[in-house]
Amino acid sequence: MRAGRGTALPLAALAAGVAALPLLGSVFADTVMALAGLYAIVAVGLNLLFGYAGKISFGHNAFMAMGAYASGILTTGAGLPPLAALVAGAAGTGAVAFLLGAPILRLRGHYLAMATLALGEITIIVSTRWTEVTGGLTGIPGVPDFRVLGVAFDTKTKLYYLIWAVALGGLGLSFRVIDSRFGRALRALGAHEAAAEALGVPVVRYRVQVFVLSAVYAAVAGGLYAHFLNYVNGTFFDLPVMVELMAMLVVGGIGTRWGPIVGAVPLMWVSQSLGRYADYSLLIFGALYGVALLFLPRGLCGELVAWEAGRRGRS
Amino acid sequence: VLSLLPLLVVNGVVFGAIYGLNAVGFSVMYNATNIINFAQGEFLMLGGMLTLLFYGDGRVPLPVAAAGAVLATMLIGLLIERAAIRPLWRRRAKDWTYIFMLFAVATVVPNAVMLAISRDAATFPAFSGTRPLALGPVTVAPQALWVLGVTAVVALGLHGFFNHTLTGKAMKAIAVNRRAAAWMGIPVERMVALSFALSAGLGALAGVVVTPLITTQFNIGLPFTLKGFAAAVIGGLGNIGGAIVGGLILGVLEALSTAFVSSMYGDAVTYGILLVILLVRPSGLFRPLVELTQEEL
Repeated sequence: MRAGRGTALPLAALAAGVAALPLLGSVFADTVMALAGLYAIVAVGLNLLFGYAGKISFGHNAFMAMGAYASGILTTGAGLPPLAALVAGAAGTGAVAFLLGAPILRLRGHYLAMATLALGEITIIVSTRWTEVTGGLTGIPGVPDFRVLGVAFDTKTKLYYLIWAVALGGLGLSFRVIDSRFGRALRALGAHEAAAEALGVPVVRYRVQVFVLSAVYAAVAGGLYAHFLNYVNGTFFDLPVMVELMAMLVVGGIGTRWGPIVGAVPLMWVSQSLGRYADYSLLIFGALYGVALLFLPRGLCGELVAWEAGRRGRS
Repeated sequence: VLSLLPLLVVNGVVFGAIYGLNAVGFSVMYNATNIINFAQGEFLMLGGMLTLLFYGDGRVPLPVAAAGAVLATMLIGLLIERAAIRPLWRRRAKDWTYIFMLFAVATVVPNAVMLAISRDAATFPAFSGTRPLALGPVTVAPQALWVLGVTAVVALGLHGFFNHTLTGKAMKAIAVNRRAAAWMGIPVERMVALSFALSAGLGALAGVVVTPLITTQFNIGLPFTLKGFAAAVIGGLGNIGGAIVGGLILGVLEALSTAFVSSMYGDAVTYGILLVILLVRPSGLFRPLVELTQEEL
């Protein structure tokens, strides 16, 4: 299982598909796919944390919000260039995740899930009430278009390209991580922490590192989201975002390489196609993800891999 | 502000009793299944919302509507166990699957209520009027006494149930050692179903008695889930008496912190208390029914 082989071709095919989509000329399709890309970025990070290292987080919406607020505040208030704000937001969120991760990741299972859920809720409540900094419920309007090296990403289609470039880069990076020594150690840690520790895996350091990495993925997506909407508001990052992310991961396949993308794209299409039935969105997501847990426990990608393996085993 | 202290404490105790009832729901289910129910607060929400639905504009007497709501919520609890949890149980799904499943339940239930019943906040009349009663230095609403009375009755009733009935003892046996309990002929699956019905009923009852003091809405479940869990952890997860005391402690802490620290951030302060407890003393202040192993913490 060497890195590159077996993943380079599908990655290139996906990149080609992504590049070709705007040829359809549908702004709606570009917008939906841009959103799917944003969620995919977060899901790829969560997949590393949860699918490989076995650490549940119901609070990564908080890191998305931090990234978004950093981009919003630094570009409008401090007048920083968007790229600098994005990098600063990712670094700052990573630092927060580092400080929180060390104590919180001592918890496991239900306790970790509940603690991260509380953390996410605290962040969203504070973000909507700390009016002097975040603008409270009014949020931060007038976030400028993303712009780098004189290129302005001022249409949804241009942003779509930017977001998917980041998403594919993030996906490629996650493959590198999964196939690295660090990735193998994460899998050991996810399977049995005490055993991994006994085998010499620096458990504490690695679990914090993967937590920070996943938080940075979320922060980058959040920052791009701020430029996508030209607006930041903490309520956009409330718990429903986490529900959607979890549904994408479960449906796509937790702990599979392609699961986050395979889950994010169709589910975003579903949620954006509801039109006047938008109120049903969360009900559908919750139900989809419960049904997937019952009938597709390994997700679409995991079941496909298992089916392949079974077929190969028989022949 | 100090002169407000008695009033704050009384208020804290009243809401603490509600957190305690919900915490007992957490503990009962945890004892039978080792599952932490991420949808526990939804039972509380269902208790209030279903009472409202049945009560309508007063066509049905309130006690009948309330009893109906508690029973209906218990049935929903059984349904959740049967449809969402038992299949996982039978295929020996990994621990995280239950967490995710109950998170999904906690998404589906409030959204179904929002679409099927109402999206607005609402309330129903207090059980015995709203004329405040003077109790020494403070005055309390009669409904607050209902909350405390129901909590006391439930605590005593559960104490009797777990210590003096065969079914209650069987549920405790499962908490101590599931496999040994099964070997002794205890029908584990039926006890698990019973624990879902019981936690649902406790949550619904809490929702019924608290709703006249607040307003209820489809989305109030999550805060009660987090606070009920906090109370259960303070009281030593699985310890029924501890859960009630944990609820009272949390309620008083919450009332004091909103008055003396800041009311601006509302529930965030209480969630902060939860985080501190989880990080500093996850085993709680009281002995859990079964000592948690390192694996579980």
